[in-house]
Amino acid sequence: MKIDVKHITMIYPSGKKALQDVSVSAESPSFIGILGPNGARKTTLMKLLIAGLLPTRGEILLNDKPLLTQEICLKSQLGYLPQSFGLYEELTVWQFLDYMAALKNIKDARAAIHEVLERTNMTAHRKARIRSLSGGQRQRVGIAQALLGSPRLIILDEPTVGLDPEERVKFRNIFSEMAQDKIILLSTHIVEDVQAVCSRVLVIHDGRVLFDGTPASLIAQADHHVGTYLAKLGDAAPDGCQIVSKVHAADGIRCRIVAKQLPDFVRPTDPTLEDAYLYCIHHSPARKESEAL
Amino acid sequence: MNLFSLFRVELRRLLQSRTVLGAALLSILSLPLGNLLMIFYGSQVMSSRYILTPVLSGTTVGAVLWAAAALMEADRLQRSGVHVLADAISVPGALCAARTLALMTVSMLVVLLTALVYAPYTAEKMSYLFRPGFYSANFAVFMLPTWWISILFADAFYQLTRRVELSVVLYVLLAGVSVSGIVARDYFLRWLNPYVITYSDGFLSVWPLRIGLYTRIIWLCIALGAWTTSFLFMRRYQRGLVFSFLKSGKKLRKLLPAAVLAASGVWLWHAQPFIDHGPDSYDYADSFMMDADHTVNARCHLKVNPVTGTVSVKAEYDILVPYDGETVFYLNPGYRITKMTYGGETVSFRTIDSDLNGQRPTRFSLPSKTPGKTLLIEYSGFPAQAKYAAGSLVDDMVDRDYISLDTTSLFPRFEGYFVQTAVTDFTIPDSLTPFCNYVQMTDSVDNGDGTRTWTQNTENYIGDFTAGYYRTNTFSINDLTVDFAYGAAYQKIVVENDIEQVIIDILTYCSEHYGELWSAEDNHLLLRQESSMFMGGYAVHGVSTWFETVLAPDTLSDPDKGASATEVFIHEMIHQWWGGLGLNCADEELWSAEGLTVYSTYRLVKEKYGALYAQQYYVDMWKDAVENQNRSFYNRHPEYLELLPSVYQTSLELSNRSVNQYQRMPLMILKAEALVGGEAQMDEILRKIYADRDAFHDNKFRFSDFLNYCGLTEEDLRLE
Repeated sequence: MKIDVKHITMIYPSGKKALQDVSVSAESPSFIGILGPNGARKTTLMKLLIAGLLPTRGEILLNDKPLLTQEICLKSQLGYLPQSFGLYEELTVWQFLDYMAALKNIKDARAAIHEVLERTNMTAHRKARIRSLSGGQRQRVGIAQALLGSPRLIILDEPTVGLDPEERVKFRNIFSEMAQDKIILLSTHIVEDVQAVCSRVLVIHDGRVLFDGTPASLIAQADHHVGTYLAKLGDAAPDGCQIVSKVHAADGIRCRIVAKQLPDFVRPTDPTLEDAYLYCIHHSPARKESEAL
Repeated sequence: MNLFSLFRVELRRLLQSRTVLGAALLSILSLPLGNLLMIFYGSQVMSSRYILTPVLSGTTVGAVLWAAAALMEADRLQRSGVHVLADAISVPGALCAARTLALMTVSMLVVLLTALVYAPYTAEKMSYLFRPGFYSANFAVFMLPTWWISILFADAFYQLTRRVELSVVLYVLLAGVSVSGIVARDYFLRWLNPYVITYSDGFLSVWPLRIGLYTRIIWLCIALGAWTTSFLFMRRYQRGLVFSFLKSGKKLRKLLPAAVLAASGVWLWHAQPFIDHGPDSYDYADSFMMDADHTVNARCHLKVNPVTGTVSVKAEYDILVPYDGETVFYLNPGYRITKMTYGGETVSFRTIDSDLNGQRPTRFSLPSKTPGKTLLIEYSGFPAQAKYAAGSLVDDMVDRDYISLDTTSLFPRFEGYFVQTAVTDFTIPDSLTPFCNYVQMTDSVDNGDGTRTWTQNTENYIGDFTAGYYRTNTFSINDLTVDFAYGAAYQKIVVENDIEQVIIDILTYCSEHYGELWSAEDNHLLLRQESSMFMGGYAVHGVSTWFETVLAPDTLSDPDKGASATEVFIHEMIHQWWGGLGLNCADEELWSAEGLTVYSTYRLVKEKYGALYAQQYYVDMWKDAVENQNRSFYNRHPEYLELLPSVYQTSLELSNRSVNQYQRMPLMILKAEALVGGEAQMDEILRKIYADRDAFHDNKFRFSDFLNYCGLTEEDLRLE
């Protein structure tokens, strides 16, 4: 499977600009993490990819054909977990997955449901009514329906929200295993998740792609732009610096910052993906270009 | 996208939906509403009361409930938030189609369940008159399609507006058309509350089911067309109605079936064979007396097919003197002329689409003026009802157990020719007994295929042909031979109540006391029960017909008319003397034919069962009822009556009217009897009144007339 997003611009009927000249390509197998602050338009991009919205300009190709002509093909190969969704409360977990299996036109629905129930650790709850499930269990049902039928394109918008840390790690690994022959797009705020499983990262801010590459190259961009220093209580952050973390220690407050130009009193250190993401959001050359436009 | 898989899961989901289960339960419970609210359809006919009324109540109330369920379920996808999952992975429309089909299937299951739930009660109430097939057909013809139509409209409105409240407004507007008084008697515009006049217990009523099914098909086509069209407006890409329509793919593929369905509905409406396209009122300017100075001898062969409800006719006319120039004949507008020749030569004709008074003219000219040749006309079709009458009474009709055809629904009515002699064959199912020009036919041949051909020789047109599933008992009273023809379904009632002997008693008693029944002629009288599908009874010389409901179990258990079923039948039969067919009584506040009839029933019962019985079950009961009426607070203080809600005012007025007619008046006549000198004197007065009945044909017999005959005043008969 192959998806090409070519120079997409999306302006809502109200005139609000959502995406500006976004171009992205992906070919299976790919596990792409999408990072960006709230309101960066990650969800808009995902809706465009599932043909839930029409771009104002540009085009999306699925296997080199316009997405709109491939809608049925897309839907038959799609697993989608939106950020917020609802379930039919009166149905049992099994019945709801059977319902979704019918929507997906899965031939052997029974086997497919068994498989995703096992994967999401919901087998014991298969006969439980959805109205009786906890928030985390509902999220697992959402993930289960997205994985149902082993779709070739999986789009996950904040899938690990509401899960405890152990489950989060487990699902992260499940997604990783599934990515062997698929395209998985994972939108999340949890940079750690992206670092753990994604082979590629997209950083989106204000409707623009600021970075598209491997996590290592994103980290490399932040080399010499991350450092630590010891501050006193009440000290303000140095100009042009973003504080990544503050740790209270016996000798003062150990601060970790990212900056375009580290001040002299700051000791450089190796960047993490989180540092690199912050650096990209605030100081990347692409951002400067977009602001200039 | 596998529609069947979607349908399966939607069906399972809907079967667990509280909205749907609520609609189902309330629909089932809505059937008794009609009878509870006293919205009856021919209440004295058992099948009207126990089948038609509940089914139509359930049809209308259920349709609204299912429309609400359709709207709620359509909106539920959005409200529950499942649409964000479903829209991403399903083709637009497929889920909606599956949901609607599943809801229609659930409604079908509910119809089945409803029929099963009420079957034991209905069967128990209707006893031997209960026909399971007819009972089931009512649910299938009225309830199921109407619920489907309602679901489709509701769903279409939701697809168009995507808002429940706007959909409700559109639905209410559409439903308003159906329930408004303007279309109260329109079979075709009442999509939500089907129109049926009444049913018959004795003669299976297929005709209302036929027109009912036809109108349901029309509206199903229209609703399906609207529903299919609404898919073009299914919202896409989070955009509005117009954008979604413009972006909707395969528009032609979707629009074509929608257009075909809607057009089919409109075409079916226009082409309906049940009601003609004449004016809404009778045109008295159209005279039946036409110039006819050329004689013909006719041989006609009429074949009726009760299964299809159609008539096919081959009419041959020996033209003794051909008419010079173009002339015209009139036929029922439901018939189509298939062949017309004169002496073997084709006759050119043109049928004019100008229906009037249940007739359609056809103009023609004979190709030659040679006399003595035969004019052959072949035609067939479904006899249509005249529009001016169709909403209030049933006219010409071919039903399974009853056929009624007259004048131009039988044979052409010519302008310029009159029939000198006619030999007519009627081929009908052998289970039916025919009556031609009000007389039972006698000459017949068994065709060996379940039909029988009856022949009638007449010296003029045949004006009336009736056939029905009758039993005929023939018996004599002195020199009078009576043919008593009643619906075969009523045999049990006739036997149980010894109706034959009751008729003998009535005819004997009334003839002795009031005079011979005027319709008895040449020592022969045909007493025939009419189907309740037709308005009223009639009497011509030698024939007296009476309402089907005279033998209806509900009538025979009416305590106002007699203490037992036999006595109620006596009451109804005495109406042959005191009623529209005999003495034409006015219907006033304190006077109607009921008073004389109840009094005469009492007298006959007194003679039959003794004075004590008559006193206990008649006079004492009359007195009790009148006393109760006098004691009523609102009758003593009518100024408070106006303070009551109109429904109670009406109820009290009806109650007072009933007491006045059935109890107060007989008591007054009984008082008159005492004042004029006793029973013999009163009998003499009544005999004179009956003898003078022709004088009251146009000016109805009033209370003042009765007082004059008795030589009494109103004050004399005032009851304390």
